[in-house]
Amino acid sequence: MNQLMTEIIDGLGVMHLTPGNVAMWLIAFVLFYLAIKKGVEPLLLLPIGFGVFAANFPLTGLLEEGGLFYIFYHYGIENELIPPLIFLGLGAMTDFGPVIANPKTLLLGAAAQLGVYAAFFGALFTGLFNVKEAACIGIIGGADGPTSIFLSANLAPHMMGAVSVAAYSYMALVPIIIPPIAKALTTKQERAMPMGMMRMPSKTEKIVFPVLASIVIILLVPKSAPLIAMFMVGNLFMESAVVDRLTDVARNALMNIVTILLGLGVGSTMTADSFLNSKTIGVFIMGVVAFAFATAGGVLLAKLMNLFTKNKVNPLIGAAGVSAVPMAARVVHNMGTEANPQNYLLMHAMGPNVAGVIGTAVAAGAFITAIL
Amino acid sequence: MTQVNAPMVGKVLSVDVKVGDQVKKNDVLVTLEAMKMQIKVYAPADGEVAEVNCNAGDVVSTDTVVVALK
Amino acid sequence: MVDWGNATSVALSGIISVFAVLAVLQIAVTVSGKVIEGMAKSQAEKQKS
Repeated sequence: MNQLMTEIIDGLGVMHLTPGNVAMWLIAFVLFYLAIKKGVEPLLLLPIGFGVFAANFPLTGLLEEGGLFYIFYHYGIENELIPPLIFLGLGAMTDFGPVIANPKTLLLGAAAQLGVYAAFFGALFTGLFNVKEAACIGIIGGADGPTSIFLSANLAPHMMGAVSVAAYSYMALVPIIIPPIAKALTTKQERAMPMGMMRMPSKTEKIVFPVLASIVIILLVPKSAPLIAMFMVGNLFMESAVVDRLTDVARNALMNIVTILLGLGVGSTMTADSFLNSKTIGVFIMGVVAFAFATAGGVLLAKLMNLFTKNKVNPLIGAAGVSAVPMAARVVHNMGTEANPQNYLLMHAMGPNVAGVIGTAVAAGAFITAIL
Repeated sequence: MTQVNAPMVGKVLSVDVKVGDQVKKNDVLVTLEAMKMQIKVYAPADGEVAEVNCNAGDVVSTDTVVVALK
Repeated sequence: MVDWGNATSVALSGIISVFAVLAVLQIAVTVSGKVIEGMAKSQAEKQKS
């Protein structure tokens, strides 16, 4: 009888609740607050937050082999299924017109990856991280959620939670991070530089682009294929205009389904032991460094390019290489209007913005090639 | 006559002037919505509004002359 | 302990890959753009005549 009572009481989760669990709950509540009250990336932070919350209940078996969250994580994220599916949806939503109209902007998307490598070295300098972990911290500078998750699932799964929460949080903070740095590196005159109307690429060009991009990128960096191939097939669906049902499902239903599974899966990796340590603080500090250097890289290369070309670009659009699409482009547009109301930088800024997504995926593929 | 084209493809949210208004450079003529943000179209020079060629709800492109000034 | 040599080569290979890929893509897009434009012009001329 006594034994039965002991067993029952022992089976109560509340008896096994640790301070670590409760701390993680509080973090989950912060994510809920940010998502619900502050509107910070709710599509990701809400499921991630709940994944954190639910994973930190004792005795649930959710994270054990065969458990529900284990299944989301193991079959969706660990085997690299979901991030590429998100890229399928993103490709079906992304307009490469501004890139095709002004291909120089591809280089601005490359320059913004400077943030990746600045944070990579910064992380190594702290002495807290090894090369694999530093690469995952670096990729935060790419300002791309699925790519960060893709890379950390590959190289440092124990940091995936911290890396993705940092990535999504800083993406939402782009209106605060980009302007001071862009203003510090440019003069008012440079920011007021007008950019005229963009030429509209033909339908043929927009259909050729995803095929051409796949050939170039995947031949040069094969390990970027999971992300790039899905990105480009989604884009081809959309631009061909002959598979509207597929395009529609890719950008809507499928995207929403995998977002739920991704959020819960990622959040569930954030247990007390994996999250509550000095490494996590390092991730968040280096994340800001990453975004700052990404902004600087884009702006500085734009200024450098202007020395060599007749078709000058407003250096502000370099900052849109920070590929938080389309937030960074919007921020750049507003900075441009502030300096010169006659300037409409939004579509021009979309060029580097989407080029940055490609740049980050290539950077991730390059890390995998070099490290594994 | 100065023709003011829409700076990019978007939907007209509001027309902020009417025919006969005197505007100065950088006054708001029209507000568009593109990429989920509000884009204000500013007058390129001083003048009087001669024509207003769009209404709230229209989808405009860079070929569309939204307002003409004289 | 950090193997700085390894880290530098990882970073360098990364930066070079990113720039190389995007530069080649830029050239490819520019060239194909001109080709497509040329083809469209000659088609338009054929239709006129």
